Amino acid sequence: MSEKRKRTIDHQMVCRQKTDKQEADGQKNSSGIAAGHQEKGGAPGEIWKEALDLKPDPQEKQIALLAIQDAIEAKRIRNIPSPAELIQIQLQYITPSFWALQGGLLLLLILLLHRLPGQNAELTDYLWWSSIAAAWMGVLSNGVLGRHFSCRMAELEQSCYMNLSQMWTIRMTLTTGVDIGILTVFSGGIAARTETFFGRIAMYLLVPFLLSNVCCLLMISALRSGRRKYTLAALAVITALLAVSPCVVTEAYTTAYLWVWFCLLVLGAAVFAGQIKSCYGRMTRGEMICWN
Amino acid sequence: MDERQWIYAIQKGNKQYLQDIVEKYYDDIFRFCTFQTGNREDAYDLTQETFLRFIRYVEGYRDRNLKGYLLTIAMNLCRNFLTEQSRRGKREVCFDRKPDGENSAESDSLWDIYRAEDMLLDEPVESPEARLLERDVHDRLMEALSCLPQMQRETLLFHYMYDMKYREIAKITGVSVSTVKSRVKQGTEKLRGIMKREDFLDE
Repeated sequence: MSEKRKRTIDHQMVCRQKTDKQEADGQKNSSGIAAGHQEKGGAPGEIWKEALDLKPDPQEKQIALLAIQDAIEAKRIRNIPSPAELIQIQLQYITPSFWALQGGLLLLLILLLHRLPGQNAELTDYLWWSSIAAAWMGVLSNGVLGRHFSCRMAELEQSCYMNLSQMWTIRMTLTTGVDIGILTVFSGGIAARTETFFGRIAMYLLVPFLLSNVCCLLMISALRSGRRKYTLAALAVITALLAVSPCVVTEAYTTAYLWVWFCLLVLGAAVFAGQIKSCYGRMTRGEMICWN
Repeated sequence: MDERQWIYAIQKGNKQYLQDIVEKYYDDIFRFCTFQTGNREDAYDLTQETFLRFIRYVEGYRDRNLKGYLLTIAMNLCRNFLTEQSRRGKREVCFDRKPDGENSAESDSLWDIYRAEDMLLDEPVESPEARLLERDVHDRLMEALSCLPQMQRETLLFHYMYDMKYREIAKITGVSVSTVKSRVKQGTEKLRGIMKREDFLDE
């Protein structure tokens, strides 16, 4: 039998003797366990109160606190911004011109909602302008995203240990979120004035918005040009023409062609999702940075 | 200064508040670890490790309930510790006494070894009877708790000792509220039965 084990058993005996003595003296019930217990939800509440009296040994606690103090002194605090801070930072880097142009488009849409009802406008009249606005919103958003990849910015951002994917995600969420919010509200406005189902209007507006996003992402990833502004302007014209093209077809916005719109929406969403996935992949692998 | 401001200051590089947090919650975490493991020596180690982990990852702390967060770390450490113990063969021992009052795990039980080692560390017993009695209360509660499954034990500790709501316990333990309720109910009944059998409670 090992020395430790022998010593342990000796002490077990000591413990047991103490307990026996205690029981013999009738002290067991005065220990507070059995006496005057109250029940909390059927549990012996007095015992839990007793349990709260358990305190660590002051010496042991002091030793632990000293060890923890050492760890605190050795600790180097790194600044990890919270999601709210990250959004705040990215908001600072979105140019005022973007907000001004978005505000201009919003103003245009509000004016349309107020003016057109007085001119006995039909659904196509609303959709003509709002589809152009939706397409331009997509171009503007992607213009903001494209700034990450112009003038070797991506390389610079990565060199500064910034998380390019994270920044891109936040900016995309912010700009696209604003656009979708505006389009949703405007869809509601058109639906109310033309007595059309809201979902149908939303679909008519989301299709040009998605398609312009697809075109712009293609431009960001395929074209390498220092003259981004001109490319964006050209894209704005092309996507606007594409967006109004259904208005030329008389029956394009009738119920009979709803399935076509639905297919375009699904197709556009799928292509857009694929493009985003591809962009993240290239960012992670570094292709986009070298390419930039 | 409240806890949120402490955390904000720490994350901005002001480390002095870490010590304040440790001092404020040390006893709470120690108590949890003690009743969860059934051993004070291990509880000291686990409590220390809880705070070391908290310090290591304090930059990423985004929770609102600091005590709950620390208890979650402690709970996970205790779980790992108990799993490790059972893997080594020192499985959780229930010191259930036989109906005739004789201790069934009398000579080989881990618990008795722990208790004896505790007594050894405190020897010579310089404290008066009161200290012995107080320790006895805690030891016997630990004994009774050790008879419960680990999950039930931690749920009971959170519920009764820390007055946590079912929802809070569910969040910490990662189970549904109904599971927590069930664990509290079953654990309470089981604990009560053990205590009655052990003559903890008057009938």
